[in-house]
Amino acid sequence: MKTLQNLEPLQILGLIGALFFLTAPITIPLVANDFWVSIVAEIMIWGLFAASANLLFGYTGLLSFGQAVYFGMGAYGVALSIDIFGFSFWPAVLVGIAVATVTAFITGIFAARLTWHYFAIITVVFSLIFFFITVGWYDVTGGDDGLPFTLPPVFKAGGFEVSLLDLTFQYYFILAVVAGCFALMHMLLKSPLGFAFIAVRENASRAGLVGYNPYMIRLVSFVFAGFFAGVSGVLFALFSRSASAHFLFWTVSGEGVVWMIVGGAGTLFGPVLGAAFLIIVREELSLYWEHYLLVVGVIVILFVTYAPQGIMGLLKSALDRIFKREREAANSVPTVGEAVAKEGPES
Amino acid sequence: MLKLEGLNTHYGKSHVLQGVDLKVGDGESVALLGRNGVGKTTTLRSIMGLTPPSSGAVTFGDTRTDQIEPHLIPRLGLGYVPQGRRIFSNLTVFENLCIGLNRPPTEDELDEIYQQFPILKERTTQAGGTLSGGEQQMLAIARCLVMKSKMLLMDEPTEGIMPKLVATLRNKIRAVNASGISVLLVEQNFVMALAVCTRIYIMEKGVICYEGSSHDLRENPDIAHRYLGVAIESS
Repeated sequence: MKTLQNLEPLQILGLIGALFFLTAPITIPLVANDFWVSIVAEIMIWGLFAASANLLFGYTGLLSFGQAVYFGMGAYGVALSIDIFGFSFWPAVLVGIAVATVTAFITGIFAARLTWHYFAIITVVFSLIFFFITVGWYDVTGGDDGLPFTLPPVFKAGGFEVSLLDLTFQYYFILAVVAGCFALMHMLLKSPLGFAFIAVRENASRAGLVGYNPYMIRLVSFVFAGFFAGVSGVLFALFSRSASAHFLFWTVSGEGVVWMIVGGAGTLFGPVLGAAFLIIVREELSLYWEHYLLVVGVIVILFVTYAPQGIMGLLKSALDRIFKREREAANSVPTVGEAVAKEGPES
Repeated sequence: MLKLEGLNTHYGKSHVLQGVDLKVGDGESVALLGRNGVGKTTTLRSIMGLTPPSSGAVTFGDTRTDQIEPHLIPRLGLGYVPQGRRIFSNLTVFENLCIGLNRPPTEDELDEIYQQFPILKERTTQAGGTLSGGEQQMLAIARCLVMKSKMLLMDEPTEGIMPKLVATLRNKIRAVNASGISVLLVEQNFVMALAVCTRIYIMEKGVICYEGSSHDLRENPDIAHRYLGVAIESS
């Protein structure tokens, strides 16, 4: 077991981040408006969504503009299960996740055959197909107006009831699910299957030489990414109490890609950082300027040009520089002048 | 164990392999020599299904490998160490060893590998891309061994390696072969091939033009000179 002293600087930052997320509903109201607790919850949901795009791009080398499909499927799975079929909370959640995952599997059968721009194009096409079906099927989906629903309780026994209507409980529910998903993603990426994702990203035919079927590896990655996007869609539907066709449009996927790139593609928590940074920029700037997206665009251009490894890369190199300097200082033998200045001249 | 019969391979209109016949027996070490561009690498690529042959047969054990998907071929026990090492540079040494196993290697499997390649133990958490050329080559071989390959196809393993590491690598390949694993070695380094292999094929313009033992080749230096342009005394 690692002690605090043995932790790497980035791990210490991770611990601080975890502590922040764990205490946000208590600490944020002390320094800011309650509204920011909801923003942090939203950041966690979108961070998971961006992480699903990262699983494909950062680890498997597939740039997807179709993650919104599975996000939307998760959201509509929950909304329709509750609103039309009258399901209770947990069955509706499971339906949402299952619908997203199955959709990812079916679309993945076709998409995983392609790579690079062909893959990106087919994911945009899937996004458009599902978007137009959802918009056109207004009676069921509510189209762009959305499909609001009433939240069933998470748990009910006798007179005792727990519901997401309690905003603190809702926050911790989202935190638990998102943390669980990241733990699962971490385990996946540290398993031979995760190494196979990276192997396929580096060189698909070379991965074939060690016995992997690159198509199957891409498909598995695609389905997992669909699953994580589906979970984020389910959470967002529960959070906003509605599902909307708007969330299936490819520009939503594009936002996920932007968050991932700004945060740091190919790192586990980079997408959360990217989502956090750009959502906070959006919230702050949109108060003063309706064309705030222009600023977001400039930020993205700057990152892509000057810091392609994203915030995570910047953080890592800054921490490496600081701690390396400290280590070097600690290991260096003081010069005669330094020793004299510290200890005084020998008598 | 491995048998090539009348193998023809084309790159577009270019007829590269023109009826190649070649055999490697159980536990045997065989070298395929030839000048640049005669089709040695294409022969290995055709065996592994990367450049599928247009006609002819490749049989490994009882399986026609030219009739199955390329990714299934390594699973039969045919390990390929391509030219230029080709390890996964962003994965650590340990992760490179996990690749292809579908599970982390057991302690015993790792011990066995680290005994043969002690340098890899020291580098276990280091990214593959940061290893030296010789270390990458050892990692590429180790990766095949951990997958329990019955035969190794090696494409110019000494290319770009420091001269003092060539002897180490030669001994490693000999040791691998001595453990019962067959070796088909494609080499430009004539001395290395003679030192490691018992049987030699020489290739010219996509055709096998000579087949004989290493001993015979040493005894007939004019053959090496005629086909490879090297003088046997130089060895």
